Amino acid sequence: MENDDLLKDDFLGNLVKKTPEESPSDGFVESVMANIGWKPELAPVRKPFYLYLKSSWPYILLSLFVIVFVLTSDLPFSKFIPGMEYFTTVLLPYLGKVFSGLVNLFGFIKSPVLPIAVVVSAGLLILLDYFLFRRPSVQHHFSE
Amino acid sequence: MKYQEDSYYIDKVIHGDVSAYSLLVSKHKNLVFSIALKILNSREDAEEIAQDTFLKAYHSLSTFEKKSKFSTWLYRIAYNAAVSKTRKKKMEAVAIDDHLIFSYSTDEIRSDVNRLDENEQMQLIEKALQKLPEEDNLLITLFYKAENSIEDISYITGLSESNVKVRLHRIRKKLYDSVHQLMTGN
Repeated sequence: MENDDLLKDDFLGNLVKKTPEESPSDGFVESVMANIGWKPELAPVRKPFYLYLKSSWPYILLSLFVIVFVLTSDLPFSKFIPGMEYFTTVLLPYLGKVFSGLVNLFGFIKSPVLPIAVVVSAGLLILLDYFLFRRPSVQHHFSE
Repeated sequence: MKYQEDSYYIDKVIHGDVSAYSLLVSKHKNLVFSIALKILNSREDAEEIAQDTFLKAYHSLSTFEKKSKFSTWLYRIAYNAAVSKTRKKKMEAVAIDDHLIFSYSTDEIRSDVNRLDENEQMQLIEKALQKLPEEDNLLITLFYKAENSIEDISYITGLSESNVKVRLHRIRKKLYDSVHQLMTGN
């Protein structure tokens, strides 16, 4: 019987280990798991905070509109709103001067007002649609 | 990727985490595929057998007794499946009373080979291994590359331990012969 220690041939072992390993095709593991009947889970995607802000814009705009409407209206209860007197006696006249200045700024425009109004309205509608109906992209994550 | 012990993944699978099986497959797929390829000599057939092996192993996982290593058990399934497919006889026992005589010194061969660079050594051993019959190539892979014990190889192939030893001795001699011939240009 041969000496079994001859088999413990580190030289030959190291040499054999240098040979490249045969491997099956890519997707082998996925194929086995699919045959078992396992499907990878889709990890839930956390929505970034700025997307919450973006989706809230219509509500913020609407709230601002309501606030401005209430503050500039002559509704009976408006006099009970804190700071209302300051708003009507100081802030409103100031804003009036600012906007009248803006009107003078665009005084050079000789075109009729209606086309400009249509273009501006359409642009605002497009912007509103963009922010209202935009959907964040969905990302798939496979758990390990 | 650093893998855990097989028993870690097996326990996870048995307790319901099927995804852990993918790591077992990933860890052992190359050798299972190699075993099948060496017997069948066809990549397509070998891949089919490798797939079947892992499926059989998955469905029998609850019956796997941890007396032997999971890898040994898996390779046995692969070996038997490949042999069944090719309808070849399993490895035949070799007469035990053969004597091996070296006509050269293995130390000389080792020193000659050590003078070669890594790439040349790899090419040399690949050529030498290609000269071996596929079954011998398989035994060398199981013993030297996968570092399975004689006992494990006996379990995988169905040969007795003494026959595994004799075969490995003969294959070792053949390999040194081949390397010697390749080095001397014979």
